[in-house]
Amino acid sequence: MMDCAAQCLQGLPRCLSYGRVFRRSGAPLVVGALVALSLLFGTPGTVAGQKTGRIEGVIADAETDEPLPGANVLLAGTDEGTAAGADGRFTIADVEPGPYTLEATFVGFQAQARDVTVSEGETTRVEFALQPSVANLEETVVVGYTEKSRRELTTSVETVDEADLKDITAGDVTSLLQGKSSGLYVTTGSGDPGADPSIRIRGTGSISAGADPLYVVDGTISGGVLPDPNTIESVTVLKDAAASALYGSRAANGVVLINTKQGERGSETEVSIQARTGFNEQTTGNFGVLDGSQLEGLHDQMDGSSYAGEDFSQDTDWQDLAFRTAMTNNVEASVTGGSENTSFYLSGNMYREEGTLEEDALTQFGGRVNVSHSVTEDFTVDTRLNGRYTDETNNPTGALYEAYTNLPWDAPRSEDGSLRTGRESDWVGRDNTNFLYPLQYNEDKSRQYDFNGTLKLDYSLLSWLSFETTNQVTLQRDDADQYRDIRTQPGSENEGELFNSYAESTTLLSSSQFSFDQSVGKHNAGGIVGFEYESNHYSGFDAEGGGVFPNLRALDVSAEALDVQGTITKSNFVSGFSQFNYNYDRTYFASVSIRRDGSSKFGENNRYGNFYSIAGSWALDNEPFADGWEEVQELKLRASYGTTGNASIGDFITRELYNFGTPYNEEIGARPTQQGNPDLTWEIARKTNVGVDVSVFDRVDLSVDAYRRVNDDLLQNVPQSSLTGYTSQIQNVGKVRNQGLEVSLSTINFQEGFRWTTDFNIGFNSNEVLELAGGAPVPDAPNANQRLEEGEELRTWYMRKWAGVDPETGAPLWEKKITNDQGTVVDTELTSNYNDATLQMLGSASPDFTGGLRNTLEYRGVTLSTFFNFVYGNKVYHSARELFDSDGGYLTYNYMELEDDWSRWQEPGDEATHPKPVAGGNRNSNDVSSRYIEDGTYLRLKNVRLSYNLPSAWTRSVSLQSASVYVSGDNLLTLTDFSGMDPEVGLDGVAGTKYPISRKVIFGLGVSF
Amino acid sequence: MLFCLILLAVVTGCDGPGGVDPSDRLPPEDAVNSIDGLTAATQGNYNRFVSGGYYHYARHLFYMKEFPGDNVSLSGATTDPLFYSHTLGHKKNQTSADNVWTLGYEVIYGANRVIDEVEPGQSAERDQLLGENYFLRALAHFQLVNIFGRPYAQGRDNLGIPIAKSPDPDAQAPRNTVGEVYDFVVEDLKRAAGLMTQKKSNVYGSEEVAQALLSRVHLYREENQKAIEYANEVITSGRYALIQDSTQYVTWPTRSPEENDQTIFAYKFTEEDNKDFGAIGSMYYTSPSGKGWGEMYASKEYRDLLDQHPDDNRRGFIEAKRDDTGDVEQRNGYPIHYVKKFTGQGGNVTLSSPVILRLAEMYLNRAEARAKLDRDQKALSDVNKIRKRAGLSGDALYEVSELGGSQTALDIVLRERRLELAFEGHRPLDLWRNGRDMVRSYPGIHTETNIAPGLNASTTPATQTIPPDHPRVVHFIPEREIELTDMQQNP
Repeated sequence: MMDCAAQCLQGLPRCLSYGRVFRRSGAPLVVGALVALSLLFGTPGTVAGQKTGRIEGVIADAETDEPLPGANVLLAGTDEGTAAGADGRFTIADVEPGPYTLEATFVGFQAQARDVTVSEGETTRVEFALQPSVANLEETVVVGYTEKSRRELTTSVETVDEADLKDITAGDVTSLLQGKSSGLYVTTGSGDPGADPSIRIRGTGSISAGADPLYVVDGTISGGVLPDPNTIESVTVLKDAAASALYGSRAANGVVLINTKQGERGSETEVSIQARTGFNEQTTGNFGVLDGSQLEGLHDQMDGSSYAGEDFSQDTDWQDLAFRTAMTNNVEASVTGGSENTSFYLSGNMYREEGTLEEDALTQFGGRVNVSHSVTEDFTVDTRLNGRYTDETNNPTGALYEAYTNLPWDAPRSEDGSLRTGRESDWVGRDNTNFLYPLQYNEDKSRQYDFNGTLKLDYSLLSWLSFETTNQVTLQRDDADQYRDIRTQPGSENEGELFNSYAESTTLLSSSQFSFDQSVGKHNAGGIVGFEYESNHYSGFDAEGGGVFPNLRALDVSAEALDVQGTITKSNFVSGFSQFNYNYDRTYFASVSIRRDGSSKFGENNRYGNFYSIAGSWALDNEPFADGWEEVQELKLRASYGTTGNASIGDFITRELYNFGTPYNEEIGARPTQQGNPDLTWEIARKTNVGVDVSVFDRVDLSVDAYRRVNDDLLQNVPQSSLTGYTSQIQNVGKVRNQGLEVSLSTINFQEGFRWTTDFNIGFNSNEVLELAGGAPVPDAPNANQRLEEGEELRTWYMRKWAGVDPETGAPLWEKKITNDQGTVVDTELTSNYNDATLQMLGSASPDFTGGLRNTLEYRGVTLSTFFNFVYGNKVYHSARELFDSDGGYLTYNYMELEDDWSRWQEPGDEATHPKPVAGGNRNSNDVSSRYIEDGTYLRLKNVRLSYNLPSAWTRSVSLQSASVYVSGDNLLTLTDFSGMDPEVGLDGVAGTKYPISRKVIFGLGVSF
Repeated sequence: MLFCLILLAVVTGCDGPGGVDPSDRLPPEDAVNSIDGLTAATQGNYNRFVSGGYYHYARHLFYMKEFPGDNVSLSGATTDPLFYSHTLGHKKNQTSADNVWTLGYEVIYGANRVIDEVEPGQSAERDQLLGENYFLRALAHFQLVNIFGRPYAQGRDNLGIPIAKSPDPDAQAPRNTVGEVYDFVVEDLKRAAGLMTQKKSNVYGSEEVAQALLSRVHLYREENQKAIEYANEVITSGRYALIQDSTQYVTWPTRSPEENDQTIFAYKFTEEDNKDFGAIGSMYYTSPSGKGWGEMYASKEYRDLLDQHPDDNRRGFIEAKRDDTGDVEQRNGYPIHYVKKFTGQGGNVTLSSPVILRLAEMYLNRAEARAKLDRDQKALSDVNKIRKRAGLSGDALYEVSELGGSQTALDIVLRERRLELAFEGHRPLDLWRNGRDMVRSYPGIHTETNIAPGLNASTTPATQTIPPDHPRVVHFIPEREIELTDMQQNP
């Protein structure tokens, strides 16, 4: 201890991490006491000597004016220095008179130097205002089952901290990650507040198996419950094998680590409250539907339309009736603090977001308790409890679809003001529905109950060896109710219908490990050996009843039972893992990890799999030859290689089974539904990564990574001839490669007076299917109208190629390839016969690159930040145009407005983009073809936020620690050529009758005391 | 250390990766090792005809067999695959063809599993199950070969479908000829008829059901004497009767098959199997509360034929939708004439158990066979039997003296088959297998879109005469299956 304190006084940077380690175990008090003692004993001597001078001062954060306790000061060229106290003040006594350079340093801040002159018997005063540095090399990052400082990392990880995460207003953490980490692609197909976005790390490598990353919360594999956004301290994305291999059979698609907030030992209790409220409205992009007279114009042009020449006085805006300006409200409160042996973090929050679609709303109540207590010096208990209640109300009608397709000519209400059903004889629209009618009566609700409890015991066996065990239970329950009133069309058949369902899942996880840490001279070694067991159970039940008197909601009132369904499924994992780290002088780093996993999901012949990784890094800036590189804080090269697995498949798919869920005539029926495959095993991802981390001038931080991931033995649903009795069998075949480049760059552009920082990230990924079962292309995979083919990208569109409109006849044209006897294409001609047109590969739904750009300007407590995200080069199939851009195919659906550079064919000689409109359709012109493939590239102003932190002098006068107000706007602007409401679509690349994302304007207020 | 021991104890008490079993499925050895298991496995094969969601086997089967014909008129374009079956603008990747193909072979595979498991002659109960599976295998082959292969009468050597006669068929086998498939079907049905001795209800296979199908198969094969013999077996079995009461007759779709004496075999749909908007009847009828698409109507030509005799009780299956003033309402300019042959079972608008075989067909099979054997008098007597049941009498009945000139006994039989079996999937094949043109010169979306290649679009209205040798008399083999097997595609 004394040894360390002495080193600290020398101000050596590597000491800082020791300081941190000690603080974690309650040492700051001890250090503080030592400092106080030294002052007590030192000061009298100073007074007595009178031949020396003293330096007094204060060290504060230049941005917030907050004091920086623990910051170090050192007289350059001497051993003399000290650390600032709780109020940021420091004193160095007994300084020989003369000129000095005084340096102040602190973790996460740029060092600052001042020239001072000390005179005999006098006190020199110095004030330091430290600027935050762009990167914090000593910040600890949780990786796998261990923690490391950033400097020690050998792997490719990227961390998004709380401030950057929480600019957007959303109820789930995944939405917040969009655009914030290079190589992370987050996209959502719906603006429904309850919709889950899809997330991919470094492209999609799996075909039939799931390709979602593994979520790990506070170091433990998540049982499916992710923390509420307000309780998240940071999110770290583990991308390469070295970082993720410890998670073995489930880490092939990367790992997202989420760390929740913790209290700090020995800190004062702090209460913080945040409240925000605002408005949401639908984004409509370049899209619009025709109004009544525009639609009349179209029918006047249309061949054979029975509505040509008709004049409708009605002009209903169905979009306006379906959508609304909605509200978002959010209140969060937390209490954090600690005593000598205990730290705690308690939080509660309420989040409510109304959807822009009428009736749609999401309400969440969440709470978290994180408590850590040291029972003895060697034994720590850590408890984390997280609960959440989610209530969702969905629009129970076809409003979303009908808003696009209902005719402006149909009035929603009759003359007496009552709502029309759509079945009136003068209703023109195709579907004969008016969503406002069932909206009065019907209901569609769901509720979710999530709970996660973790108990962690940590016991220090020896000074270098500890044992840790984590035990976690995750409970989830989903309920859904649907009510279909007898007065509405959906409920009429059975005289009112009620549908109730519940599903619950339980995940138990127990993980135990020994950790060791030992340093001998410049050799530092550490490692873990552990064991893990996980068991999953899922069961569900639903029932439907008919004959329900209006406005009753419990199934017992139903006059007849209509349907009963149920499901139960189980799986488990047994794993052993170990990892060893070694570094020499914190310059050369190496790590090795091994994991063995067994799972019930796999065939009896291949139940266990082994995964490993090796990684190394070299901190060039620590080399003797780098001694003169004053401006280089970090220059590190990293390389890693390893394997991970993918087990995201159904629970019993390796077995040959008869399914008893196939009754006939109300009697038991069974049929063979699954072919066995006892050899089935993990999908393996082999990942290679090389990267460089550079940090210079305290103002520029750059990471560049190049990677290659080859997923082998893919779990693939191999299509089979129907003659076999099955349409597919899951096999370990095929290979997909993802490779790419990622850059993340953070800079402080300006920091004199006002501060301007920029964060930029971009990830390029290219994908190729290397090998398929038997080499043959797979139709309609992974999604409809796409095809897997060796040498092509996954998610490549495969359909007929649109060739425009015949100027003479206005008929649609497609490409037809003429092949010779050998099957090679010798010529291309155009055809108006859809069947004759040739199916071809027409570009991929995956983007070439994605990324984000943040700029932050700060001046005297006022902060303005803007955040853009962008997606480039993906092809979107705008499937909804089959419905509302059908050239008469759907005679009585509404039509979309033509984009500026589109035109309809009217007479011979017209060079048009749209065929002649013909009632009943013009030769399948609206059938699936590249006509509806559009560029999905967009640049979106995801967030703008203006906030003001009230001056601390002012807040302290009203007993507040801090107070801030802000206004924030989400999705204010989107630049795109896409013709629909919103270019952001699900991973499959299909834009249907979309629920567009919301544009939000939020006002917020935060105080802490 | 103590903790480690506790932990070890906890973990060893848990299931290992091998110790978890499913709760809703069983391995084959547990499923088919008992008579109950074999019964369940047979039930599961019937299940394929009725299960599924919006798109299911029975829906596709009835639409693909009926909609190419002249009894129906569609009131607007749709992307539902039925559209292409109706306009004959078949697509190579048509969902309905893909679906029927896959489900049909699932029936065949499931039947083969049971056939493989059961030795004949062990017990009557086992033989019955074995017979039912032979029947199901034959039925599926027969239905598929008539959708994807040309009519038998056009030549035995045309390509049919691959025969699958074991649970482990050669998936790369080329298509068998139509003749081979028909031979296989006849063999299976004869074996089935011999094995089945139990009289289950008319939603299961039985000796008479196999014989009834044999009557049809032989009729299609132009083996007229055999068609008559098997029809006679069924007619004289005493298990079935024509519904003589007019009110009872037109309401038969509203009753369960077991309550209809005329039904020989039907696919039983229960409340649980109700397909709502995906039901067969949904396309034909919209209830006052809006249930059902109601977009496919009885054609003007069919209605005119039916309306020749106001007493004909079969008019009761057609219902015009009228507004308050009594005028027939229109959809996209086409008058709405609903068809109610697949609606209202147990009071449920979209529920029906579609009939595969019924007694009237046996009379009409016999009539057609007799007409072809020049036994005109007997043929007309069969036809009159049906017409009397339809409430007709006097001049509305046929006499041999009316024959000659432009009208033959076969003409009369085919017209009666059309009237009686309309919408049940007979009409197009009845024309084409007899070498006759399908003429659809009445209003409907088919005249506007005119997708079938080779039809003349330049006339107004576009020509809608589909000759029996037209390539689109049959559907394309699913594109997916072609890609997986190198099977030869239909032209």
